[in-house]
Amino acid sequence: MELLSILPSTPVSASGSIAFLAATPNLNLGTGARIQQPPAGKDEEDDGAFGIIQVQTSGDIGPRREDEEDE
Amino acid sequence: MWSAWHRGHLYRGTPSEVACIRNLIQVALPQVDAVWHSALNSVGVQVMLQGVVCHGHPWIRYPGAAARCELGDFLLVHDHKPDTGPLERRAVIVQAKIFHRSGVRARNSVQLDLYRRWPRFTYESWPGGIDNLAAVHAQAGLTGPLPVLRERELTITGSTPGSPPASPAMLDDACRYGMIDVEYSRWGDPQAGMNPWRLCSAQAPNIYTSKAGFTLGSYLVRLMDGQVGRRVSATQWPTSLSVACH
Repeated sequence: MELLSILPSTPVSASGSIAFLAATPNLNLGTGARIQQPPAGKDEEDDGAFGIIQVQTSGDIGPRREDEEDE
Repeated sequence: MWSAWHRGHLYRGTPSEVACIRNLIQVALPQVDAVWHSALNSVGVQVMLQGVVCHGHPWIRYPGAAARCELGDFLLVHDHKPDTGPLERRAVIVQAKIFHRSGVRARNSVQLDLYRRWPRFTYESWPGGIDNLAAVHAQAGLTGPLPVLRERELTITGSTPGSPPASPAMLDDACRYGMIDVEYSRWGDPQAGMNPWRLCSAQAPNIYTSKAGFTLGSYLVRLMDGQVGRRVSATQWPTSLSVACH
């Protein structure tokens, strides 16, 4: 599904998901990688901040919900 | 989270949304990471929480809207690597709102409509500048005319034409209002130990006057357990963008 996809709105893929933000040049959220602070820079129309919180787990955390619709 | 809030003195006066988000990610998150790391490790689950704060918001516009609006204030993502099988990912985007005694003052009907319907929208701005988005497209090999290249449609579910759109429940799972209760509770009391964050559904009829919802900590636990959030494809960040283009 296309939650926050980097992809255009045409029905091209079930992949992509949230990569649009994670893949911005000022971020590095690759598996096991560090998070880098963005470089200085400012969109003239923007004030404020946008955050990403990533929780990574591994191991057995029990059964997880399956969505009704297939991706 | 309350501890970070208290130590950040956010209970003095009315903090800004940005101050609350920064406190959450830069102060509270490492503390939660430390506590959960120890607690979950003892039962065989490895956990790591990390966060980043970017300057600026993604701003979007959609047809029929009187003005543009923010896409959100922060993104929650849970990546789980099971003992066997591929990486599983769930995510939810959150719009933070300062919640006063009378409720939310900064009401925005365009934003609320976006969170309730998720119409097709177009990016107009990006953290760090719109050039960053162009760089993402270039890195992914995406080309096309503007503004089509910046359009997004969250209701698409599959790669085949005619595949069913996401259900309203799934769309609702993908977003939450993050109500920050700045006045009701006793944040100045070091013994209070209450969390100011509530994650609330945009579908609630009284969204601006009710903070009924899970605490952020509780929501994170449910996200980890797969009870909340929207299941999304787990591409690696950012190196596997090509995967997102098939």
